[in-house]
Amino acid sequence: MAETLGSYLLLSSALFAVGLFGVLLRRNLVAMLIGVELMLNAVIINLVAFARFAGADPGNGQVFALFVIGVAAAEAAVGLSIILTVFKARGAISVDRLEELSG
Amino acid sequence: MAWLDSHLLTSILLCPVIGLALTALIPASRTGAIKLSAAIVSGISCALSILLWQRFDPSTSRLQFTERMEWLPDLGITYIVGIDGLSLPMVLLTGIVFFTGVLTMWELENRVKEYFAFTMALVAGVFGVFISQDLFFLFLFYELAVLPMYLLIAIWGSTRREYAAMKLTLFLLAGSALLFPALIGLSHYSGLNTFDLTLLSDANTDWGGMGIIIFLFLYLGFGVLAGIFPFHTWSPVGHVAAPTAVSMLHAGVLMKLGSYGVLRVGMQVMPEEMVRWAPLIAALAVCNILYGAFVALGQTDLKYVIGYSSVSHMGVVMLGLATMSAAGISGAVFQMFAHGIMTALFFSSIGHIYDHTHTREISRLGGLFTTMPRASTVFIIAGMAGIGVPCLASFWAELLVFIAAVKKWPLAGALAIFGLVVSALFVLRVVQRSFFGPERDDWKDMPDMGNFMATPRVILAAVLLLFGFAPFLMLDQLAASVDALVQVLEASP
Amino acid sequence: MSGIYLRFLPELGLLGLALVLFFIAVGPGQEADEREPADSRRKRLIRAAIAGDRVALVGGGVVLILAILAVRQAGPLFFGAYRVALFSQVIKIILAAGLFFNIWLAQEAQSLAPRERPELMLFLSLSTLGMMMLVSADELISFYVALEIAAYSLYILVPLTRGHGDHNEAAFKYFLYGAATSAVALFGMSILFGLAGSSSIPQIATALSANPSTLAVTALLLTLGGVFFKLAVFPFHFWAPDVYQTTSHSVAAFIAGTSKVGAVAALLRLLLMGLSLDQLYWLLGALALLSMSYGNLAALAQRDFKRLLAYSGVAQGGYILLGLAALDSAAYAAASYYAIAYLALMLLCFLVVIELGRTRHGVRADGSTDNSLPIDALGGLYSRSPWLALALMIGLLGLAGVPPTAGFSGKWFLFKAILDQGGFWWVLIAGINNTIAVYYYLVVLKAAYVTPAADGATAIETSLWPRALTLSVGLGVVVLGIAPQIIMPTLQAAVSAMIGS
Repeated sequence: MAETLGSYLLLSSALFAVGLFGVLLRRNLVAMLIGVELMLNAVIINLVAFARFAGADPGNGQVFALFVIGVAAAEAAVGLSIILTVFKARGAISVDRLEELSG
Repeated sequence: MAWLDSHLLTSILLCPVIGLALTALIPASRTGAIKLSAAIVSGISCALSILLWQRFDPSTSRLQFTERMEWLPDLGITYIVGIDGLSLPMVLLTGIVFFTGVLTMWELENRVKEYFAFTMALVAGVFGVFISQDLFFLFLFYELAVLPMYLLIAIWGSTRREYAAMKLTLFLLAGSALLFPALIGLSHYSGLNTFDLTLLSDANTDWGGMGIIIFLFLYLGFGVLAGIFPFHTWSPVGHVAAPTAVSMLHAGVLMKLGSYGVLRVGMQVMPEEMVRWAPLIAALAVCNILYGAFVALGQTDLKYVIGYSSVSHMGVVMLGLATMSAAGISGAVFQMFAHGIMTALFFSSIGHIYDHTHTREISRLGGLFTTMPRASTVFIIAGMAGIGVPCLASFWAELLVFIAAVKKWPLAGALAIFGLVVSALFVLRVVQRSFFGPERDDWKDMPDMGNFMATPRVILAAVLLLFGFAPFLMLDQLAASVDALVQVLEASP
Repeated sequence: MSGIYLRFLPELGLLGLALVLFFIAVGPGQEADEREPADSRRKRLIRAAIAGDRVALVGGGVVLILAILAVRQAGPLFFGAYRVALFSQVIKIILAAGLFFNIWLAQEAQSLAPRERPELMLFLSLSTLGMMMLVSADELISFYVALEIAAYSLYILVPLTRGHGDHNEAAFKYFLYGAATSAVALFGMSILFGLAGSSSIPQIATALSANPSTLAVTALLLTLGGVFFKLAVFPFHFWAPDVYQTTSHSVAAFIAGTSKVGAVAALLRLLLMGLSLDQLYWLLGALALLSMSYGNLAALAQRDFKRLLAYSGVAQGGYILLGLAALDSAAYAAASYYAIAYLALMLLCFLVVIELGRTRHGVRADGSTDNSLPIDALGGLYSRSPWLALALMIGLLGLAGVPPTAGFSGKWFLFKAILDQGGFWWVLIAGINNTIAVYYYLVVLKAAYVTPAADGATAIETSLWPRALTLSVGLGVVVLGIAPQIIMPTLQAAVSAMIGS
């Protein structure tokens, strides 16, 4: 496949879809968190690809991508710490066990 | 006093607001002081409305005592107050019922502070509707008058009070759901971007297809509060549950907000649509008259009887408006006034009877005339007014409406007169069963009204008699404004 | 002081406050010492917590003053990534006021452990800082970072409550939905970036209006979705009821009030910069009607006051969106006005929640924390505390759109804005919704004013502060409602200035 914008976008869309399905369908908290990470990675690919092919200033998209990577790291930290407290309180990290709250 | 001269209407509006502030400042334990301040404030507003009546110039149909202040010009909102012959009687009515209502509740002991605070808020809303000439303020005051009613009935009421209060509020606010698009739509579709009623009425806008819908929304939205058939069911239930003075305000004044809204906004701003919808309004009004009268005939609770008779009497008002003739409209406005005073009198009398006998069942009462001659006399005067006995105010009002109705729609007029006959039946039946007949031992030692408690009733009865003997006092004030409105209506296709 | 610092004054103040609070939160007093007796340690922590409360209160007041001082500032900052204008400054005043009142409400909060109270204040300030930056961001990058600063502080705050319990689960849900929606929003932003070839929002707006393709509309909607999540409108609302119910009262108050104002402001800011297309009229309108209908119907079934407020918040978000769907300056001014009113009304409602919370032992039989507040617990409030009952009445009636509160005027302005764009029937549906809403507000009001107090319920001592808050906010709501011209011209000017630039 040629190196066109389209192929990068195809990859990122697929990755995004995988991530979204992971968040929506998996019942394991860590797996859901990984789903979000995949979505963010799809965004990063998007940004870098757009910066390379469409952007007036290639640096702009790459800086954006770096910011997203930073935020993703913070997200993992916060997410895992909440998962840890849930695990301490319940002894499980599956959503099926979290049914005290309705909707 | 110069300020008062030029701000008479604002002063009347401020009376209950000041009353509210005073009530809020006085500690809840000092009930005497709260009642006194309420009496003073309501007395002042009553006096000011009489002053207004006396200074009113009956020769013109233009707005009088107008005050105008820029509010939000970008959104078309202006603070405008002013009255013409159509709103003048309503202001006087509110002043009288407010004052007598406060006196009627003099013996209240439960949560006095809150009671008077909510009453003040309600009355501020009622005064506001009658004097506002800007739709934003009119609707603001209209909504303001509805909500305190909920608390007044739910806290101080009797029979099924929480249900009644909720039903009443939801019905009235369902009406508001129609009024929101209708009132804002008036400003939008007129293309004027103003809520000034005078400007909107003078514009002769061609409403196009929206006119039909907007007028229908206005009629139904305001009409719910006037108790039009079949949206009247909240009204008798509410009357029955409410405490005495709240019933007085509710039937006497609050229901008039609805018919006044139809008159002021519907008829005045959209005369062509009024002409289009008049047959429907008349038909529903006749339903009101007949349905109210027949259902009242079958009631066993005194308050339900009066509640349904109010439905019937409000039908007379709407029928008068629907005739779109000078006689009909003057009759309707006169009837709003007379019915307000009359039902206030009814409910204040029933309130006294219920406070002492703790029943309102007609079958359990009897021979009250000998034990409670004053309360009974009051009731009988109100009853006579209700069936349109000459020399009482409502006689003239109903007469005018019926004449106009028979001229315009003979069948409707005939049915309405038949309704009056039925209402005569139920009033006489109630009077005969409860006040005359064999004396009951249960009620032998019941105290009659004291001199103080009789005062508000005497005032109300005197007003009924005054306008009964001198109907021209009212009709002269109305004439110019009614004629102007009729001209507009006749000019409409 | 040079102009740059002046323009950045409120944010700088807030940053300074956050730093001070950070040192109190991690300061030398906080670490555990094995040799110290438990009792003296507890006392020390409480002293530190109270110190943190007071510092935050004073600091919040200072930030509010700074925000007012900086209101006339205007101009770009940070090489065009950030822009200060009348609109952003007015919103910053509102946010600062919201923060200040939230800190006031959270003084000596009972639903948090003393150790956590300085952290509460710290993250409240940081979240507000994020929202302030949000309304000035001119770049997608700064917009995104500001959005996440505002959000992450809240993710941490939600599980921060005394003891263990279901709040952790609510917190995880909130975090996960939030992170996922912001990822979706970010995906939308990346497409916008690609379409315009620039991350500057004004340039993106120009590119969009030149070529409003379906892809552009989709990307824009995805981007707005990130803000809808914070506003908790219909398809993005799932977290709200659980979070409101289980988190500590002080945090719920912040999320319900100030945070929503931040969301509305961010939405407005995006639309004002021209990031709007005509298709949004239908999309926003439909979303608004769904949101208000769903929120109101769901609220009917609630037995918990905080959950009810959450669902009513979904509906209220719908009213704001409905006005915004008009996509003109009158609508934007109306939405700002309504957001201010909503903030004040939420403060009144949560004042009652927090003060009542002090009297309830929020612990279940199994030892877990119970931060809920059943409507029945409001029974007889009129006799237990007339002040709180009054605050609740004004708050509820305002939410129900009853005059003379600002809730009524705000609805009128929003409805007028949308009707002027031809949305007659939409206003009718909104009006019907309002009637439904009145029912459940009245149920709560009935509990507080009509139902007598339960046996054993004692009077609630209301100290001077809650009274002062009731009086000042309550009066403010009424005065704004009767005389909206106090702030409407300013809001209109702020909005027109943004559109004109």
